[in-house]
Amino acid sequence: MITAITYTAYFCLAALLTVLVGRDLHSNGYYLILDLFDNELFTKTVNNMLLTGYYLVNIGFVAITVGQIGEVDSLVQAIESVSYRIGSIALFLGVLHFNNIIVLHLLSKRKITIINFINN
Amino acid sequence: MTDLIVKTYIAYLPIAILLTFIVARIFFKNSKIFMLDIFSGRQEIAGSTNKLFETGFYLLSLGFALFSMKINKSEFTTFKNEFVDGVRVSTEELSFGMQELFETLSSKVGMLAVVLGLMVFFLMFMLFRGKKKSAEGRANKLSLEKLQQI
Repeated sequence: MITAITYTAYFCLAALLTVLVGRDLHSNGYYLILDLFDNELFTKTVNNMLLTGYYLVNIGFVAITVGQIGEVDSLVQAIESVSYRIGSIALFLGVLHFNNIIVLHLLSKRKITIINFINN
Repeated sequence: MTDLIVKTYIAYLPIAILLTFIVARIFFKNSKIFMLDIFSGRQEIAGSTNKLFETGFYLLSLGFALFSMKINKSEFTTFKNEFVDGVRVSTEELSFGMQELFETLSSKVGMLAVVLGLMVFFLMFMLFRGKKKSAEGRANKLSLEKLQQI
């Protein structure tokens, strides 16, 4: 019984984290991509595609790792395994997120080329 | 004994989350001004970059807080080997009292605070660097325009 509760808690927390972070990135990343592309329609499309890919990869990853928790005997073990996994997902997402910002920053050095490529 | 471990976790979680939120709120309220300077007054992109950094900060610090929450139980376990009628009987005993609770709690919260402090200093360094770079870029632009006028 406690195993099932742990699985459910893990999946719900991880999905909630994914959706909250994804929504935030979707609404704030828009201006960064707009600055890079200078084309609203194209920016909206790319942004939505990025969000879809992000949800798929993340929730898929969570769904794969749900089964790796294994049997849980006690409350202590349940708290430990859920927090460890949620923490590692959050750390991974954080590293990926700063990586994305760095990539956008590096791309913005070749902004004029990209804007010409998109708008012509 | 395991009751007290659960109590430690229950005490640790709100402290960690509250600490992260307070630090993030103070830091990112003040970094907005730097961002406006870096992006030379463009409100939208400065605000969204600030928000993106805030999300990343929350992810990294809460991720670290949860990742390092697990208490290493072997530190508090004593192993005993006894011979009863020529047969070895090994027993292990977990001693986790109120004293151990406060010791582990303070060491974990302290570790989190040190990591948060390092992250804040790193972000401050990045902000100062960005400010310097954008000032250089603006100076280059100005000198180029002057050259074109001549």
